[in-house]
Amino acid sequence: MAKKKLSVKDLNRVFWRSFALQGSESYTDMQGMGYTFSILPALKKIYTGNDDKLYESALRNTALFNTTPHIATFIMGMSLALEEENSVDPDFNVEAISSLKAALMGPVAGIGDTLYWGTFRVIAAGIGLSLATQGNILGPILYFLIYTTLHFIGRYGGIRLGYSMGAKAMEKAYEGNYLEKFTLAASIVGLMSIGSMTSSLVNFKISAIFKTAGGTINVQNILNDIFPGLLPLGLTFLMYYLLKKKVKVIWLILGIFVLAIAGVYLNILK
Amino acid sequence: MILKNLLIALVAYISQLDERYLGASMMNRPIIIGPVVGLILGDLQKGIIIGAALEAMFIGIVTIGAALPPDVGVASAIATALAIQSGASTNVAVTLAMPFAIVAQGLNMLAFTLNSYTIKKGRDAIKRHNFKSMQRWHFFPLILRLPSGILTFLVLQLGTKAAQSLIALLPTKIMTSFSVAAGLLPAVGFAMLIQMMMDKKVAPYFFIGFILSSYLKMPVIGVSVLALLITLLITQKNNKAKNN
Repeated sequence: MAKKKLSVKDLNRVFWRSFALQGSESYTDMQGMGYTFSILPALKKIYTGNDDKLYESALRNTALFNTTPHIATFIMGMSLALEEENSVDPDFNVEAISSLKAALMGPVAGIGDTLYWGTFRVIAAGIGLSLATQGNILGPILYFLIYTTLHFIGRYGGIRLGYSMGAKAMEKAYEGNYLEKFTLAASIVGLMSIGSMTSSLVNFKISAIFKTAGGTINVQNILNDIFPGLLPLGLTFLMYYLLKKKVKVIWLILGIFVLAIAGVYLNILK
Repeated sequence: MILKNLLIALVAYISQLDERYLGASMMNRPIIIGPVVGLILGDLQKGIIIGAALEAMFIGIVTIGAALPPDVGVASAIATALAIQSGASTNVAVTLAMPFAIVAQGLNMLAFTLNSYTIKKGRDAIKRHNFKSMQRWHFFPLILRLPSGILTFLVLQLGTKAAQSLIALLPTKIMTSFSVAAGLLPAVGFAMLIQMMMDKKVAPYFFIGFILSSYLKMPVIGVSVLALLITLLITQKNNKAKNN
């Protein structure tokens, strides 16, 4: 095991630079160049006095890379630990670093997308929205504080944890099934919040009241007696079904507008 | 007005940089852009409310993997500004947002395509042992992102009057339809989130969350805390099962 060359200060520089990870993102190389940009000061320190290896490493790290940006630092930390071994071990196979990055970006994105896009942001937005819909400035502020706290914990924890554990981190994670447990927990919290917000934010009510000989029939009241929120739930799952059938989002949105206009002109919705 | 429109164009431009250079800090979300634009135009209150309506509609529109979604940041800046400046309702803002989100998405796709060249130039710089040049190329897309700001400025300069007269022309029933659509549209976003997160194992939790709010009117904070407690119980149970 190589001696640790990077100080907390060096890791902090990678942490701050990693915010620009997606700056030059392209379809062909994704975050490739951003990866090299993020870890460059650390690489320079690791390969001090060995320019050949430095430029080889910088170029190698621009290879296609794509993961959840908020916790990409975890992979950066691990790959830097390996770069360190490469800097002292002449027999080190640099392919190991490339394959580690390629092997990790998928699973890390699986957890990261669930956590950051699906769970943290939705909960922060849910809390923020409950205040913001009434015009309360605390809504946006709370949203930002909640999200940013969780974001910084992940991004900063990622670089520190990844670097200190090196390639062992992944073995450990797989050993105890921690990844699986973590993803499960995140999905549960995320899905319950999404379920709650589907009920509170999708506003779909039948306004039509039919007159019959025996009085009036309020369709919405009948639906509420069967299952409150039946229509929002049905509509959401219709959209889900269509997405699974590979229907483009834009068509779903246009379809919603057509449904709304038709509903209003037929006096069913308002 | 030109100065204010320039400021809002700057907000739209910066919102585009959020996922690029600012770590996807979610500052490009409508819930933030709405109030900022409101503040610039001197109506913070309306900005917050429009931002909230747009956030509800766009909540599921997120960048995952390689697929670029409609651009919610630029759309929020334009729609909030047009609605406040033309004195229109929140529902009009919601309707205006969608087309601009799609136009800005096109601009994003263009930048993503052109960046293949950016990265090629960056790699060439590394081969020439020139890190300075490589890092400059990493920031070259700052220029590629400018069209979103220009689009915003032009729409606001030319569009406010047009928006006013268009709104005046529209029949009441169409306006009502927009407000109905604004209520229905979050379904698309939630469907996208469900698609990302749900498999058979965890599907029931979605319905638990839904029922808690539809039957018991529990707010999302309560549901999230309850969800955390449930995951704690599950972990404990699993650990016990393992120890036995």
